[in-house]
Amino acid sequence: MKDDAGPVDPGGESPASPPEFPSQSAAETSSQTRQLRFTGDGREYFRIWIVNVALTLLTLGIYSAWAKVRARRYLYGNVWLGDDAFDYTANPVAILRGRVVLLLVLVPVSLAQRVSILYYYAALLVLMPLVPWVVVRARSFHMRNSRHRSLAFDFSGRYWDAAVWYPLSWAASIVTLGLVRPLTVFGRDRFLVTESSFGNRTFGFTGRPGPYYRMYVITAVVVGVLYVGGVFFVLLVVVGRSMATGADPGTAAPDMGAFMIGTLAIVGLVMLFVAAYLRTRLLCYRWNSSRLGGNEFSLTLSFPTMLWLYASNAAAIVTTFGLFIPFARIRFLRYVVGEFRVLQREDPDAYEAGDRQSVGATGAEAAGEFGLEIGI
Amino acid sequence: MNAVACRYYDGKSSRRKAAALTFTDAGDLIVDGAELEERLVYRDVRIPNRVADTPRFIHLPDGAVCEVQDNDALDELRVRLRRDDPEPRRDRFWRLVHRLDSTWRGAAAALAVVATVMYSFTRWGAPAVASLVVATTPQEAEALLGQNGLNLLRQLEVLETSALEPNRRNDLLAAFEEMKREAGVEHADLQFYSLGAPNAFALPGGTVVVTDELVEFAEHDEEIIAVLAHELGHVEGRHVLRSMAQRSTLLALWTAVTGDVSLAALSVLGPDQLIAQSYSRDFERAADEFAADYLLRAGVSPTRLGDILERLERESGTGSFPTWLSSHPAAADRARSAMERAGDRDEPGP
Repeated sequence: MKDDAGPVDPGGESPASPPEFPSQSAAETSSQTRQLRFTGDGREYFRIWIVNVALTLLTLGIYSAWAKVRARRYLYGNVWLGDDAFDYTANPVAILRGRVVLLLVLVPVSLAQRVSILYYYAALLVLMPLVPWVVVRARSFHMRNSRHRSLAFDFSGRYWDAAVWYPLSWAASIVTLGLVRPLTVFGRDRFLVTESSFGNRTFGFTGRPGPYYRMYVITAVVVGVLYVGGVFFVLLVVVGRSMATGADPGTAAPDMGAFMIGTLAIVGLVMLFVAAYLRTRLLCYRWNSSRLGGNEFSLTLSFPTMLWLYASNAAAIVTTFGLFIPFARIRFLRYVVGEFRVLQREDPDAYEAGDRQSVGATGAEAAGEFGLEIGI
Repeated sequence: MNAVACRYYDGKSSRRKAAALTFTDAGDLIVDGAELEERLVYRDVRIPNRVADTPRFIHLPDGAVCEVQDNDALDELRVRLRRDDPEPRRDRFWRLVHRLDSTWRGAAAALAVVATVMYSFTRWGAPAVASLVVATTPQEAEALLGQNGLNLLRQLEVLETSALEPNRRNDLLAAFEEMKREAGVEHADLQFYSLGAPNAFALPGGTVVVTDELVEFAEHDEEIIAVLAHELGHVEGRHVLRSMAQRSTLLALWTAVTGDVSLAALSVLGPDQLIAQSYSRDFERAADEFAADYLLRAGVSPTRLGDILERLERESGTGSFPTWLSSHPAAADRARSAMERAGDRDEPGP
């Protein structure tokens, strides 16, 4: 679901006029709050998704780039600020090229793993310097291909800044046992927001490190309790069952199944909490601290609702063998997009185009592959 | 000629102007309207393909953008203007895609394609890929995997040190060595542990674990030999590794299709169990065959395997499990097929 939170993109400016091709007058600039609208429909998106999957399978994966653009165009085209929808303009050929390059990098790495685990770690170390590059390219590609009222978003972060907030800050988090993690996430968010722009205007960031520490402390406590309690419970069940188990000479070790399922359940619970609490709060805080000129943003998502959305979506995806995925995306976006508000103080007509050049999609595809996508 | 209403952006600012759009006979695009200073003509314009009923943004060569919300009117206009000229192949393809994904019939056809491909891949593709993976995985890597699993089981005290008499153990070890030599299986070793229940299993890398309780449960040494032969069959086929490879291949395919590892993992969670069971039944059958072949050569009746399995099943009461849910073919089935096999082979030659 994360990568398709894309359409919740920053800074759309909307006219204060009724729909149906109104003529614009620049006079309407008094401040007002506007809500994003999401008009996507689960059944409609399911049809697009299943045809995409079928064509991707029939073309041995080549169509996947066109499929991605088509799905995104559907989602973006159903996010409205006032009576203006968003536009996704990525070139499928660029995405395909990115995927091919990615494959050329990843296949040797996984082959290295087959030869020796040492080669594998060596390969990962060699790839590390590419991470900041991937981050910058991914975000640029994503932003430059997102448009509102014909103007593109942009991202102008540079390699060394990304290097600080990605690989180097990971290292710092490990060395300090996670103590500086909230600080580095704060820095990363500020980097991502302040290097972003819409047209010729740059986003501003008013966040402070304090709230990040609060979010991470709460998360650490809850995850710790879940983990300790869960492991204790699983051990109890596994040991209990192995005492009473019947015989079954077979390939699998006894009760490894129960153990695996128990471990998976704990991991699932932790992931559920992290998604519904930490990731949600981070997303809200980042938006609530963002500015575009005089415009402010407000995003308030409730923990119980997010928990319910994630849990019910996951359960439905499991029981339908994945066929629920498109419905899950739509449900998710309908809630998140619907809660997004823009406090408009600027004339929506007054934005001007920025300078731009085209960006290859290799970074974007690599970012998706490594789960780096930041989908603002 | 009818024109289509559009919103015109000059590409320099977010200001929009109401306009109307139409095409000339030559296929040039004309934007005109009271709010525009002049009539604009563009050549070689690509109209984006239609996605459901979302607005279409026509990006013009000079950076200007025309937004059209009335998709039907735009399509109709293009069809009318094309007259007898053949539709460009690209446009025809996207019109077909739109027809597929805007109707339930099209979606049903797509679903049928997906189901067929996924089924065929599960049935034939994944096992073929797994064979390749198994063939290229070094023995040491596999052994490491098995060793990790064994260590975990011992750390958790699921498996405890065997209390079998050394003599008994040495006899069985000797029989196992003999079996390995006879069957030509190189990487295999036998270990005894106490588990609290009669059991035997093969780990990746060739370690066969037999529990004290199984040794005591057997009514005849030949029954233990039969179980060992079955497990050696799993070792010979590298079944654990093969099963892991088959299942991760499916996950990889679904990840490629959905473009998201976590969504793919959720999707295959359900089918994975069914698929794993079905693969596993194939493996059990293969191991049974391996065991029966060996036992016949060693002058042991293959029915010994069926005997002990049937008694174990009675003991643990899993006999009522439907076959398709169980990872093991019902013991009665296996006893029967072992007997049939023995019957075939034991027929005295002329």
